[in-house]
Formats: sequence, C-alpha cells, structure tokens
Amino acid sequence: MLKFILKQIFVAIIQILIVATIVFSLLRFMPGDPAVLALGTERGSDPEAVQQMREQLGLNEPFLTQFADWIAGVFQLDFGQSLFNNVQVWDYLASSIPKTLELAIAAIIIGSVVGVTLGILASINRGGMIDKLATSIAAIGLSFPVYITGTAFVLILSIQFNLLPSSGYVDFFDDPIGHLKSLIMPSFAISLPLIASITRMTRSSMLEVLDRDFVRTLRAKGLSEKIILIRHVLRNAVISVVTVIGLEMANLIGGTVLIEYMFNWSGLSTLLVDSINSRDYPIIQGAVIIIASFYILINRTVEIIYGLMDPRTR
Amino acid sequence: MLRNKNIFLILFIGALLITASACSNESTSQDSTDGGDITFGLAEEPDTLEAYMQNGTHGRTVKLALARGLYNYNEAGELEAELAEDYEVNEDATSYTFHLREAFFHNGDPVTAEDVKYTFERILAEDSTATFKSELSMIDEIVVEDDSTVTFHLNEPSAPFLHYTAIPESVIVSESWTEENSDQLDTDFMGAGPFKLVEWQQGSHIIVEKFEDYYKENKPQLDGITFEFYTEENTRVNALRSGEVDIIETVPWKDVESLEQLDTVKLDSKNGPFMKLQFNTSVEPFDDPDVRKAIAYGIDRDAILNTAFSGRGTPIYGMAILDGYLGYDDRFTDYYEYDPDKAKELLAEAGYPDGFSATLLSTSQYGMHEQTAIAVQAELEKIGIDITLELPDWATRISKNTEGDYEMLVAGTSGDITDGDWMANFYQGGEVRLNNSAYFDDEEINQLLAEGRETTDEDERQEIYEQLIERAMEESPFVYLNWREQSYGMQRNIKGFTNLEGFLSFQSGITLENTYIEE
Amino acid sequence: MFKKLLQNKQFIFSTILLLPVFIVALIGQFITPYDPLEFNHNQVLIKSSSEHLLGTDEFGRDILSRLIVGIQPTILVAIGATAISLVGGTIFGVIAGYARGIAEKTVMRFMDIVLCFPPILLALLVVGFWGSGVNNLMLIIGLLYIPYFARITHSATLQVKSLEYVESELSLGATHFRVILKSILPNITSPIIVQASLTFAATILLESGLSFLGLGVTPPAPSWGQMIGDASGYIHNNPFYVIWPSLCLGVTMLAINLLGDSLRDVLDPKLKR
Repeated sequence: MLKFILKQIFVAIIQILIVATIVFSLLRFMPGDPAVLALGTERGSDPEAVQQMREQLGLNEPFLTQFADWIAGVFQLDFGQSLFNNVQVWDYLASSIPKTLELAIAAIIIGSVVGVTLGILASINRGGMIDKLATSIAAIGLSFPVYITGTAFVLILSIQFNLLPSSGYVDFFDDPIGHLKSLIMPSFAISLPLIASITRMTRSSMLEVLDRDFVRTLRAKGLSEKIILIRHVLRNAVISVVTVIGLEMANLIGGTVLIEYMFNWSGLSTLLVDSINSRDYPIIQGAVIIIASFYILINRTVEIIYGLMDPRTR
Repeated sequence: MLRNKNIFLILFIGALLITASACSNESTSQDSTDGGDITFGLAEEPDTLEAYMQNGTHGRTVKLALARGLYNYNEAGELEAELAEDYEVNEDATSYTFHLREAFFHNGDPVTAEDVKYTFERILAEDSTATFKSELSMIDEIVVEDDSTVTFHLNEPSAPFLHYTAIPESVIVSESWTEENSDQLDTDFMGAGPFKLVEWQQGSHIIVEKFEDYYKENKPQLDGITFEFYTEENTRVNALRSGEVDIIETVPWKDVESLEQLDTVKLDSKNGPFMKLQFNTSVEPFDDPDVRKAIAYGIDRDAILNTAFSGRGTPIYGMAILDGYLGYDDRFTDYYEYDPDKAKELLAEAGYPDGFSATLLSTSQYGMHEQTAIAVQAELEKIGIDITLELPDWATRISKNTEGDYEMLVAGTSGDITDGDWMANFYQGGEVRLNNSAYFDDEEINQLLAEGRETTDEDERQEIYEQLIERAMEESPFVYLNWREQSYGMQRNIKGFTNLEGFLSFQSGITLENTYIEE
Repeated sequence: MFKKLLQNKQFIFSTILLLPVFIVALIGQFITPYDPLEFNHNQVLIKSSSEHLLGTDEFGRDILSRLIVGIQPTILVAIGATAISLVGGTIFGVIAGYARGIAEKTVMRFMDIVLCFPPILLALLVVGFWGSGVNNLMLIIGLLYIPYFARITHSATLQVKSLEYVESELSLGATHFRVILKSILPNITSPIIVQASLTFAATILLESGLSFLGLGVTPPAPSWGQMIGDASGYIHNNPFYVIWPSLCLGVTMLAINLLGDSLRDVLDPKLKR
C-alpha cells in the first residue's frame, strides 16, 4: 500500500513538472512584454527605460537560464516574486487561495446537502411528482451557465428586493454577517450545477442498489423500509456519490473564473486571470502549479478512497 | 446723500455680519466633521508605489495622498507651491532656484535641499526606469545652495520645466529612507504628503492614515482612507450604490444617468481625457495626409459618443485642446466637420475612389476601446473603408502599439502637463512611442516644439503653438474623436474632493487633503 | 436503434426544441428583420417597441436580429470542436486501449496532464497566445476535450478487445487496422455518441463563457455569450437586454442536455435510470 501511494506521489510530481514546463514555455512566446507593462500603460516610457526594466526583471537572460532558475526555486517551493513589485508569489497565493477554497467548500456543502436529499427523495419516489421535480431541477441546473444564474440572482435579490450585496468580498473579521451575506449568491450560483450532477448521481446509484437482489431479500425478511434505505442502500450508493463530489471539488479549484469575476471575489482564478492580463509570469506559473496540484491531489485521493471502499476496483 | 451713505454703511455692516456668521457657521460645521475614515474604490490595484513611475490614475491617487512635490497642480488647475515656498528663474530659463518651506517626511525628518537633489538625480540615474526620465533630461546639474535652497541648472532653456516638477511622478522622496529601503520601494512608501502608509495588503486594500505633522495647518481633515480595488466596473458602481464605498473613480458612462437620480450619490464629471485614432504613417495608404484627413471628415463623432460613452463627453472635430491652454484658438475646435462627401472626395483625390481595406487595432479588455473601435468601423464603412477589427487583450495591444505593429489604432489618453509642451509627447518625431503615430516625423513640427520650449515670452509661445496646431491639423497624424467625461462618484456627505479640470483629472487625488465627511 | 429513439418521448421533445435552433443557425442571416450590425445611435437600449420587438442594444442594433445571427458561431464552434475532439480522442483512445503497454501509458498520462488544467483557464491562456475568433476557438476547445473522448474510448476498447471473437479474428490473420476498423469501432459507437452529446453541450458552455469574458467571437459579429457579457453591464438601464440571450442560451442548453440523456437511455442501457 505504501509503495502504491509513493508511486502515485511520484507520478503526480512528474505531471506537475510537465504542466509547469508547458506553461513556462507558452508564456515566453505569448505576445505582450511585461517590461513595457511594468512601466505603466497610460503614459508609456522611452525604449531605454524598457531595456533597463527588462534587465532588472531578468527577461534578457536566455530562455533556458530563466527556466533553470525558476525550476530550481520551485523545488524549494519558492515561486519567486511578482515582476511588478517585490512581493512574493506566495503572498499573493496566500491571500487568494483561502477565498477560492471557501467559495468551493461552501458550494460543495450546499450542492451535497441539496443534491443528496433531492436524489434520495427522487429515487424512493421513482416516477412520482418529486422525482419529476428533482429531475427537472437537475436538468435546469446543468443547462444554465453560472453567469446566467448569477445574473438572475443579482437581478432578483439585489436589484429588485435589495436583500443582498450584488458583489464584493467582505472580510470575515471586519464584518462576519456581511461576509456570509456576500458569500450567499456566488456560492449558490456555483452550487447549481453541482446540485444537478449530485442529484443525478445519487438518484441513479440509489436506483441501481434498490434493484439489486439483496434488497428484495431484506424486504422479504420484513425489515422496515427506513432501515433498508439508510443501513443498506445508502451505504452502497455512497461510494459513487462521494466520487462525484470529489471530482467536482477538483474542478472547482480554478474553475470559478466567471463567478469570481462577476462577484469581485478575488480568489485564485481572479489572481490568475489578472496576472495573465498583466503578463506577470511568476504569478501565473505559481497559480497554475497550485491549481494543477490541487486537481491532481484531489483526484488521486478520490481514487485511493474509491479503491479502499470498493474492493472490486483494485 | 448722507442718508444714502448711511444706508450703504448699514447694508455693508449687515453684509459683513452675515458673511462672518456664515463663515463661523461653516468653520464650526467643519470642526464638528473633522476626522473620520472613508473608503475609496479604485478601478485597479496599483502595480507599484515607486514614486517615479506613472502607473495610472489609481496609482496617482494613492501617490498624491502620500506625497507632495516642489510644486503641484491645485484644485483650480494652477501650479501651486507645495514643498517649495517659491522659485526664481533666470532670464533665459536655464536655471531655476527653489526655496523650500519647513515641511516634514512621515518619519519626522525635515525635507531638505539634499532630498530634492536626490529625488531628481534618482530619476535621471542610468539604471532608473522613471517614466518622465527623458522629459527631465534637460537637467544638467543640481546644486544645493543651503538646507532650504536648491538650484537646477539646465543644459537648454526650458519654459515648461516647472510643470515637469509638478507632476505626481516628481514628488520628493527622502534620501536616507529611500537608500535604506531600496529593496522595497515597490511596496512601501514614505513621503511628505498629507497621509502616511499603514499597510498594503496585496490583492485586497491599501490603508493610509492622517499625518499629524503635515505642513499645512488643519489638513488633512480625514483620519484615514482605505483604498479598495474594484476592477470590475459594475461591481464598483454597485459598491457605491449600496454605500460600501464613499468615493469611486472612473464611473462607467452607462451608469452616470442612473446614478444621478439617486438621492444618496453625487457625481463630479469633467471633460478630461480624449479618444483618438493613431496611424502607422509608414504604411499605405496612411502615409498620405489626405487619407488621414478623409477619415477626420468621415466619422460622425456623435455615433461614438452615444454608443461607447452613453453620450457623456464632447465631440472633437479638430484639436484636443481646451480653452485657456497655450495654443488654443476657436478655429481649431471645429477645423473639420462631419462631411462624408468631402471625405470621399479626399479619398478619390488620394487615389482611392473606391475606398480600401485596413485593420484597426483596439482591445477587447476595455469596453470603451472595443466599442469605440466598433463605432469607427461602422462609420468608416459609409465612406468605403472596409475595416477589420483586431481586438487582442490589453497587453498584446500595448506591445503592438509600442512596436508600431498596427495600421490604425484606437487610443484614449491625455496630456501630462497643462503647458503647451504636452504636445511633444504626441507630435515629436523619432522612435515609435505609445502616444505618437508610428513613424510620423515632421520637420516643421519638431522645430516648433523646440522653439516652444526655449521661448519664455507667453505671447510668443501662444503664437508658436498656434502655428504648431495649424500644421498638426494639416498633417493630421491623429484623428481626434471626442473628449470623454471622467467622473468620480461619491456619497452626498463627502465634501471637498474635487475632480480637476482637463488633463489634470488623473491628478484629482491632490484634493484628498481637503476631503471631509459632512454629518 | 432509431425505432427505439423515436419511441422515446424525451428524444422527440428535445429534437423539436432543437430543430428550430439549427434551422436558424443555418439560414439566420436571411430572416433577420434588421441588419444585425447596423447602428442607430439615436435609439440605444430601447426596451421593446413595434419596430424593435426585443429592443435594441447599446449601439442601437436590433436585439432580435442579433439573437438570430448570434446562434451561428456558437453552433459552429460546438460542432467543429466536438468533431475535432471526437476524432482526436477516439484515435488516441483506441490506440491506447488496443496497443496497451508503453503507448497506452504515455497517451493516457498525457491526457491526465491536459485534464488537470481547468478548461476555461487553459482556453484563456491559449486565446491570449493565438487570439480569438471562430476558427481558433474551434481548435482550442476541440483540443481541450480530446482527453474526455480518449478516456471513454480507451475503456470501451479494452472491453471490446477482451471479447473472444476479436482474438479469434487476429488469429485468423486479420491486420490490426482491419480489426480496429471492423470490430472495435462499430462496437464502441454508443459511448462515443453519448460522449459527443455531452461534449457538444460542454463546448457551448465554454464558448459562451469565453465570449462572456470578451475572448470569443470577434465583434461586431454577435454570439449569445458575448451578448450576455455586454448586456450584463446594462442591467440597470435595460434588464431585458440580458434576459433574452440568457433565455435563448439556457433553453438551447436544456434541449441539448435532454437529447443527451435520451441518447444515453437508449444507447447505453446499463446507465438507464
């Protein structure tokens, strides 16, 4: 088992390195010169200053030297500093990762609670009204992009009824209630597609288990339906539901671009998009590595858990 | 007669009393409103706090809260002595002497002549990346006469020199502090301005607090300012609507009307920056002044104003110059007109009776740039010019701009100073720059720009710049489109913050020292 | 198979919903009431009038006309991208599943790498690199979805290959190419079709998301996502401007998802709900 995990970690590191290399090279060939941008774009500077800046930023060095320097840093978990000021990339990451995690976790919690509940209700109600309702909600949740549902929330909850702030991040320690209020709309908007896929997964795996022979046997034995459902069916269905939740979580880290943008929630995606816009190479590279690592980490964990829970897949 | 005099006397005394009471009312009300903190919504997070870099309106606003120069532009748009008390200049404008007043940096050190010398030598140093390095390169030598007197010897006469000391990038920094903190000048700042830096939390906010020893009595009035960053414009506006912020910069034009209807919010709007088209004058057909003029005649500026700017601004059918600026004359404001027939005629004369195809570079990253480009495309189609839009992100657009890799380009900008020499950055020939039309190089204009700098007599200078603008209109390296309204939005109880006129709108941060909250 | 589909109510319903969308995408430019690019700067952001049924946008352009034309690039990108990812993914997946060994490891690990970039972020990077526009979007989005097809076809190929008759064919002297073409591919069409419908929906979402951010179809040509992005700034001025394209996009997505579900129900009975 230990060997298995070590091997997984090794493969993950190789993958991250390849991701890093691809991003690093892609960036150096992207149009747009950070030296020019660093000097400010409202006024422009003379070419001499640009040359000076390029030297200061180390952009004059040969490609391979730049890459070697950077990779050496990455192995010591040092992502370097922003090209525009001497702030460490880690400082930027440290202020944005918690915000994205918070948003993702809130959305996952909402999505799981609502999704699992709807899925169970639908499956025991197969073909009934509740089932139809749940299936429709799922279909709509999957169909409307987050920026449309987000806009709809803003239109109704902020503009029409003025219940919630239309956007913006409020620091928890400044104003806890304001913070929670600002969290509601973006996390609900993100959770809709999650609700949809979790509802579907719960429903179908519940149905699958319900169809199995052992349930019939249990029923024949005269066990109450409640106990059958909770003790036996749910337990069997939970594996695939957990898998879906895990995979969705992995997708959310870095997949919240549109919502962060709409609600001025300055998380990891916003950091990445902003630094792409300003060609702040070290931040882009750092953020991509973090996102990829999260993704790989969560995926591997899900695989391992899945393997532990379901001996058939080993 | 006597009676009349008495009546006048009574009236006069009465008037005095009323004024006095009004004054005292005002002052008491100000006393009671002293202090408090406000939140200022910036449109972007500044990249750096490095004093000598021009990093946008947002950067300048923060800079002007923290620092002062020898001179600065005041609320009325005039040069006002700040850290200097006054200055003397010799007859041929080659030597400027400044007398400093008693003022202190945030760490308690006095502002000395050595600091002034250090500030400008740092800008001119070989490894400096100062934005206005070449504009200040006429400085030959800086001599410290005594602790509070410093003389700048220039290597050529320069009438606009004082203006270049007044821009926010020429604010005075402390020699000892700057040397000690040379590795963190991007993120830390210490100056002699009304507020001092408390913290800059990257990605979140910048906090400044009142500097008790600021050289002006009873200023600043606020205890502190928190600068928040709202990159997304709708978010910024909504934050103002809901009262989350007290002041926002760059109110989007589409929201001006709806904000004006609110009881809680007021706007301060001025015609500041302008939009223009730049041309690569080395490629056909834009090497022909007639083609450029045809474009000047062929665009209905209202089409751009009404669509890209929701009607907020003023069309420019000539030179982008405001009344009161050197070289201004009525005839330049409507040098052209909207006349598609004339445009077609000019195109035919230039050898393009059926029009031509060209690309127009702009950016998809900023709505006003993209929308201006779309409107220009639609307008030029009517005179037979078939435009393909090129809308990369801002960074790519800037690269193409500075490398001269474009045919036509949408630009939005403003002059740096209110002196006539602002035109140098736009019209001076030479290497391709952000703000000139690529490869445009006109002997006569270069000559006039040099004369304008060397001449000290105001009337003569007026004459020179009029000639220059005349020539610029004939050659038409730029087609100016419109002034765009630059608006600050604030809560009604915020007083004293003023949007400066004209080119100076980006320097409105200077009035943060006058800003206060009315109960 | 077709008979089964025609008996499926959901399939019929979603097809009826989608048919007009595709027809409009095909002939849109001939049936618009106005030129979708024509400006009228004196009539901007009108809500609804007898002249402009759904109102006008910030340039005074007719929203209905733009909606009609705006479906085309979206559908075009979705079809193109789905085709690219289908062909590319199937080739990789089948080779990996059929050849096994080092080829399989290399291909599938590489697919994993592409997968660990969130699609929209990778698209952002590549659009910055290559520029936007219909052709680029098609290519970029198509490449991004190759791994999804590769995974599906890979596991399907593994299943089919282990069947006895494939082995026997090989022992009878059939070439690998022939086996893949005649025995493997026909047996994995169901999962491919199901995956294609999922990808089609996903590419529409991605294209409209990029357009929403202003990185999609080059203006002034409209696309729904771009219209929503532009309109969201004018929520206070004219809320209907954002509502119309949102509804169009949402309903189209709904129809495509329903179609996908019905395909899966019929073609992949194992997953039957």
